[in-house]
Amino acid sequence: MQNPLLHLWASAPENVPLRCPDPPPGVQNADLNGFFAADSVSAAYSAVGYLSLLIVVLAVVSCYQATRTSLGPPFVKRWWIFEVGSSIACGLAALLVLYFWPTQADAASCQQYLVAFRATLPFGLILSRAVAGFVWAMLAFLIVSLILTQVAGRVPWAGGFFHNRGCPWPRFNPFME
Amino acid sequence: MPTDLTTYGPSSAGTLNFLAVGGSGIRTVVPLLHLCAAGLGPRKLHIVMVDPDVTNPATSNASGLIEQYQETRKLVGQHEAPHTYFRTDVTSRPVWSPIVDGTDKVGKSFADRVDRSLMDSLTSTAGTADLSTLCDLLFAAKYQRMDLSMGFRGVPPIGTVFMNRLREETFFKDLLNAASADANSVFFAAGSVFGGTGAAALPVIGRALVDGLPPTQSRARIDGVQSQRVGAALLLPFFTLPAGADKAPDGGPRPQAALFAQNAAAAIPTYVDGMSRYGALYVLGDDEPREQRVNAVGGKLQDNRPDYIELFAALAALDFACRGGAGGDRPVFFYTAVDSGKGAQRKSVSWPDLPLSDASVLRLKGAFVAAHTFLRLFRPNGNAQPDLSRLLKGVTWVDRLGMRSRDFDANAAALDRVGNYFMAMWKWLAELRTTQPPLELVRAGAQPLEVRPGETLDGMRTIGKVNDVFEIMRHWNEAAYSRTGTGQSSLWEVMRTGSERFVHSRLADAQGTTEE
Repeated sequence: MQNPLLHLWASAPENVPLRCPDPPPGVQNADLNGFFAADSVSAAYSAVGYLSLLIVVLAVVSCYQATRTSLGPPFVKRWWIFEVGSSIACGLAALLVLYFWPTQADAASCQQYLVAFRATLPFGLILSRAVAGFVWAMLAFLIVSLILTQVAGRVPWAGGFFHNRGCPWPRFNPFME
Repeated sequence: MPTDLTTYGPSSAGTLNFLAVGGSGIRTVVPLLHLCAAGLGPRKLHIVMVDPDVTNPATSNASGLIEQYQETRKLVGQHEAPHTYFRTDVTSRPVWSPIVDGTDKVGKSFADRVDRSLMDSLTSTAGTADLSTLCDLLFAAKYQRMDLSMGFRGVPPIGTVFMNRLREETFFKDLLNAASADANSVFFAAGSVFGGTGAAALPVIGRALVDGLPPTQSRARIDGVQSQRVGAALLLPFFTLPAGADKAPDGGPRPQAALFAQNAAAAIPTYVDGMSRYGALYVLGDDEPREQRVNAVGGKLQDNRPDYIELFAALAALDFACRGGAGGDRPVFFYTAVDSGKGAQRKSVSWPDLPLSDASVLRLKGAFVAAHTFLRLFRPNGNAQPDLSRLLKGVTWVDRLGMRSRDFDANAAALDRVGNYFMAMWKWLAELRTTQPPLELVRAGAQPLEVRPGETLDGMRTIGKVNDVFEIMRHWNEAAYSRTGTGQSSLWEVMRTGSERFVHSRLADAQGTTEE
């Protein structure tokens, strides 16, 4: 999935280079540069995107609904804790999912392996996606909070979205106590 | 059945004219005002205080609180808010001293005030020897020397001499005239029947109100009020005095605690047989009277502590007003028994002991929660809150009321007044906790900031932990949503209904049943 709304600058790349495994002993030295299978990389990124979305939505709902307070400094502090917490969770989720996802090499991209085999994405790529996930979650938490407080939060039945509808707007200052 | 003070019916929508008589009676003004501030009073309350001892702290405290209430009400703009805090329009007149007769007499003794020397001089010119002899016969020399500005000191006959001047007072004629114009108005007097001023004044006031004023050369007769519109709270000996010197500094008598019960027993028949004309009587007492700290004759030193009996007397006045009067040719009596135990087993008087309907209790509890919330957030311990507009920025109930948080800075004067008033209420509640038996309604033993939100009310526990005042404001948000009004005039109604919702849904009595 290439949607930049989910991945910012770190959408799933195509033709991710892969260093092919060393050939078995006795086999003539072959080309060591291959590629990841694009569909497996895309699936890994999609999983990260949807998981991040789920994390943010759950974090927003928990932040607003799993409390008995209404808007005041304690809630603003809580909102920022959930904001940063969900961002860290999304960054970590990207790291773990991309690292452990069964991404595969493109079949026949390594001359000595004619079938796809399991390969871990390069760490630099994973780290880039994790950073993007962190930033994305920061923005997504803010936007989802805004939408739910300003739309659903108009009626008391919306619970915490109603009682705290002034956060993040107009109450956004984390340093006010 | 306890009266519901939250719903004054149309027949009881008139003015409650409250006559606070003597030191004990005047002390009931304070709880009466606090009940009005809590939204349990009638639409109009007119207070008349009667006491020769105008320097008594009870008088100055009551006068000060009346002024504070009036100023607060004016600033919070409650003229159009019929159901909420400070809803009662309170008016008053300066304390009426029966020993002041409008002449230039300077002496304060009984002899001076009745022109005893004039009686002597008239004896030789007009043959009025009988008058001076009669005066000496009825009033011993020690009574004639009494400084009356210190009160009547448990000697009702002295007070009765002066109390009949009430009938000549312009304000009393105005009261009767206003009563004929406002058929729903009621009159209620409160005072002790075991001391001096109250015992002397209560029968006179009842008769003067019901009998009206006879015609004179300058005016026609002024009709009295039907007896069912005139009630009284009779305070039986609810305190004693510590042993003191036999005589007062002026050589006159001191109030004798040993005679209190005897005085009360002698006075009761006057009320029982209807001679005092009251339609309804609320008789209040305590079987273990509390000893006052000092035995002061009167004046500034007579600074007695508040007592729960005074709150019950104020509740009696509101009960009578809410009923629109009661009784008839023969007085009806209202009884409420409070079992607070005896001796070492004596326990506190608390919420279940109040003779109030469930709705009235909820109103009162909500008011105390609102006051506490106010004293934690809006005016911490009664002091300024420079961050208030920032704290309330974006708050749902503020938004629903169409207000901006900076409006609270613009209305700082009104909030200051309310804060000061609520602090006065808090201190009164704190003092009541120190009496014997203590009246434990609010945990006011500490400053408001030291009492956790949700732990305001005595004998109540929270359902789930309440961490901050903003949890209480969830209920204010819902109250604001239910309202159509906006602006500051709706603020107090939101505060009231929201705080009552909080009490209803988040507090349970200590025994475990939820508040209903």
